[in-house]
Amino acid sequence: MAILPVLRYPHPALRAKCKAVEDTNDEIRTLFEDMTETMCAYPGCVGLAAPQVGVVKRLFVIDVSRKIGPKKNHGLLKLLNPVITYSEGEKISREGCLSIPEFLGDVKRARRVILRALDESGEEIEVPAKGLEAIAIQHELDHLDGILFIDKVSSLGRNLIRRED
Amino acid sequence: MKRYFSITSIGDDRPGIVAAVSEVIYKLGANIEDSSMTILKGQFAMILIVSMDDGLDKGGFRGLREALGLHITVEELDRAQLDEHVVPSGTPHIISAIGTDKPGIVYGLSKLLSSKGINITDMSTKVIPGEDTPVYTMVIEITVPAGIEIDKVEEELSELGRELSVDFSLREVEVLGL
Repeated sequence: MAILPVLRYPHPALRAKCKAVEDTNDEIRTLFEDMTETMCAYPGCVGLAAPQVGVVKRLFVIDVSRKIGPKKNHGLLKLLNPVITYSEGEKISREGCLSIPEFLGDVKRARRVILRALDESGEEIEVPAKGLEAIAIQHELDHLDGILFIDKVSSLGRNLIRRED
Repeated sequence: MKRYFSITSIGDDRPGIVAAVSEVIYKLGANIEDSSMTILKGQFAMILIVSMDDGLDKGGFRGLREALGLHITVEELDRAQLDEHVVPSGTPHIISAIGTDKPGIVYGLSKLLSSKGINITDMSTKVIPGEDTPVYTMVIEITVPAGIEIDKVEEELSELGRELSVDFSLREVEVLGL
């Protein structure tokens, strides 16, 4: 296990379109472990995508229970090749990102999503998520397409905020 | 040593104001560090903080007053004050308000907040036409320092709302670290 260095914007890996993972092997499982440890090394961090640690592959980890406890979420999820198959509603949340640590931004996303992905053993799973977990999934999925939360901050009002802590 | 200047400008809104002002800033060799621009009652209002290695030639903006009718002020900021500024820490909250328009709403609310050491970090207000009387709306972002009982603030807000016939709502801004 290792804490990996987190890349910061404007590193090109953060703008890359990540490639699907062909095979779930020990290398991938080690990466998942390291990414989980890295996420947990940052207080308040509930998600980390592979390009943030320089790996341009379609996988991420999230654990919203780190913020809101065990209710209304699936806890730690390690997901490969994720695809959103359904989304509904709207929710604006203030998001921060380890790769752009200076800012927070108000971003509008779907309130509920259903995600289809592979777990770390290569089994297909479906994750119905709502609230913060749904937001975290969409934020991390965007990373896999080279999209950052600042790309989605609306120009209406003052929606990009300089981080104060 | 970098020097910082504030530039404020207001004038009748029309296309080309940002281009004209930023052209002057660019040609003077200044860099825009921070800016906010909006339209208030048809007036295009700009606030900018720019930095330069040398002094800023205020005369460069004179042409804009004449060509676009802009009221422009340029002031140098105290570098020591900028360096020493400490951002008040606390939890971000949003207060929204809706009610009948009348003088004293902003004053009443801001007095209550300042008496508790709560800092206002962003605020916008608008009066919109209502069926009989104009409706006042406000969205204000505040930083609530540690140790402040938020339930007590909410109670006092409700009381103030009854006095002013305004509905206040207070909510914490949830920050999601990803």
